[in-house]
Amino acid sequence: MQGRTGDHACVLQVRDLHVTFKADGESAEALRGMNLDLRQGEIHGLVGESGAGKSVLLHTLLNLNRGASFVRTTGRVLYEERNLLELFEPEIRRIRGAEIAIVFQEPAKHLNPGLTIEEHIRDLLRYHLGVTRRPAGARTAELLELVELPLRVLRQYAFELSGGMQQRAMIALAIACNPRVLLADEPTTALDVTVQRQILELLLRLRAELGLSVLFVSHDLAVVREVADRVSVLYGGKLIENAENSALFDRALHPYTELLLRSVPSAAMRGRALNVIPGTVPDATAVPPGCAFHPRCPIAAERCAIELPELRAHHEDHSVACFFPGQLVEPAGRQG
Amino acid sequence: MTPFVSVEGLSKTYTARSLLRRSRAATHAVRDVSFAIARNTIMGLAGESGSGKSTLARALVHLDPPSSGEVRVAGIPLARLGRRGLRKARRRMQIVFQDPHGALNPRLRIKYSLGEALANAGVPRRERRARAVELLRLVGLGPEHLDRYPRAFSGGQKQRIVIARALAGKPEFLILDEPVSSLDVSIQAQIINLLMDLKQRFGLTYLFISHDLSLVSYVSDSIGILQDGRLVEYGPAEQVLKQPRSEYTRALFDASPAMHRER
Ligand SMILES: Nc1ncnc2c1ncn2[C@@H]1O[C@H](COP(=O)(O)OP(=O)(O)OP(=O)(O)O)[C@@H](O)[C@H]1O
Ligand SMILES: Nc1ncnc2c1ncn2[C@@H]1O[C@H](COP(=O)(O)OP(=O)(O)O)[C@@H](O)[C@H]1O
Ligand code: SF4
Ligand SMILES: [Mg+2]
Ligand SMILES: [Mg+2]
Repeated sequence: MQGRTGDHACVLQVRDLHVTFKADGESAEALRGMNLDLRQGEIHGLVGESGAGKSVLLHTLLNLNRGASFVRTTGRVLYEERNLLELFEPEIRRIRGAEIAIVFQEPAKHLNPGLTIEEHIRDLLRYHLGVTRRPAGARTAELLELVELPLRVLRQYAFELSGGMQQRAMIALAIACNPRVLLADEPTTALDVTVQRQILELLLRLRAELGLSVLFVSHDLAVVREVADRVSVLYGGKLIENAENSALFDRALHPYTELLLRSVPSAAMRGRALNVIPGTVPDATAVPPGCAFHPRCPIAAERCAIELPELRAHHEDHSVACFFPGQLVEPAGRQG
Repeated sequence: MTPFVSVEGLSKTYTARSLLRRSRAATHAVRDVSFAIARNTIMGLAGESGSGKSTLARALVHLDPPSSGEVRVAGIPLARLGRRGLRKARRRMQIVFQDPHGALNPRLRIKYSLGEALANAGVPRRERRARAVELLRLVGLGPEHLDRYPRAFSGGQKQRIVIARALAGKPEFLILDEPVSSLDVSIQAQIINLLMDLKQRFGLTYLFISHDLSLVSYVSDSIGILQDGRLVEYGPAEQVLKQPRSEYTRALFDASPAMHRER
């Protein structure tokens, strides 16, 4: 069954992923059995509040978890019939950046201040493709055109560029080796709305032109609604709902998703109090037992505090991890 | 009706000596801005980063003296007040900043942070503890939080404490500079509801600064849009939302992603 869910070809499949860190001597389970399918050619939005595990997931996909606090990863990340978590570093290195590339929220932090944009691209092409100087030059120009940056940028350093241009440069680097998968971690969060709009349009165009599959992480529901084909919601280190864009935004089944959508302010809500989810997001060192959302859930029942609801298909193409999906009643006077 | 806050021709220019040219480069961060806020209403102020929102906030309460222009709060021109008069007037107006983590002294228990603010507001020592408890209750926290340090609180709780502290001197006017930008979506809603409740309860007047147009649309009675230090749009919220006058406002609204599209 690998490589497909239903009728859909998958480029990346995550199975029962657990990632554990140590925080102040306590064990912090950042991912607690994550399952996810990234389908060929889709933009897959991944939403969740801080600490939900979005960034940890992206790092884990590329086996990037390091550092003294990292304890262990278990589970599988399947890509082209292989479990990426079992690869040796030299093998994963050939995939990282070349076949699966990542774009970060703050490009300035991930670009070397001592290298020009051209040197960045050239180093990358040489490393992954063994491309020599001349063809690299042609490819570099082509990349800049793809991300709509002027050629002069090649001789510039990251700090000389605006936030939007840095993000374009970062995207140029990410697509330099023709990756199949792009992991984007809050790629527009630090940008102004007009620049954000340009970057979102760029991503949509690149997906169409290059057939990229994109995992798009954001805490901003409105942004995800605009770009994603499919949306997954993370809570407490687990995927709790997954559906096609309009199904998720119009007919959310998980109480957390539904309440989160209702808490977003807009002109349409003027004069009325916003819906509020009481309490706070759980910390990875103290995720509540049973359904992690139960202390905040208005319809929690006894079993919710004891049993763990698994993610299962509620109906075709719409999965949810809740014992009472779709049962949160609409407040009076709610507008869609 | 006379407005509670009025700003006329406010400008703020920063000058920095340029190393290369030996000349003075001037940044006109705020240019000739005028508006008025009626008592117990909210003016929303939006604009892209660097447009001058925070500079305007600081110049308005004379934390940084404006380069020119006049600000009146409750009819009193701030520029005419001496240092002591200004300090007294500032109790009536408070700024709440974006980052609650930086706003609280990490080495002070909450009761001392609040106590300091209450002392500044002239509350006698023996009344401070009771007032501190009352302030915490206003923002949905309890007396058990008094002895804790800031690190024991989440971002949303810290922002509640920052708001409690701002309320210590019973202010009438609050400048909220991106008060929820650093918070999670579900926590943002809690804080916004809290701010709206406090406004009703105490008849407060707000200048609500945010780069989030959906949020500004939700909270504001009037809306101003800053671009390069200029107020390119200003009017009642309904009008700005339905028929913005400036091309720039329209472009901003079109670019900003929205959960609920009405237009
Ligand atoms: N190196 C680490 N050591 C200890 N705990 C960690 C480490 N990295 C992440 N965690 C914990 O794992 C959980 C998930 O973190 P992650 O950064 O993935 O969240 P996120 O969903 O990306 O949130 P944000 O929206 O804030 O970026 C958090 O509770 C975090 O504190
Ligand atoms: N202390 C300062 N010295 C020099 N320039 C400043 C200073 N503070 C702000 N500026 C400049 O003023 C402009 C407006 O900044 P700011 O008010 O912080 O914008 P916003 O809050 O809208 O993002 C920017 O160009 C900024 O770089
Ligand atoms: S499983 Fe129970 S607690 Fe969890 S979301 Fe569903 S109803 Fe609420
Ligand atoms: Mg993150
Ligand atoms: Mg600012």
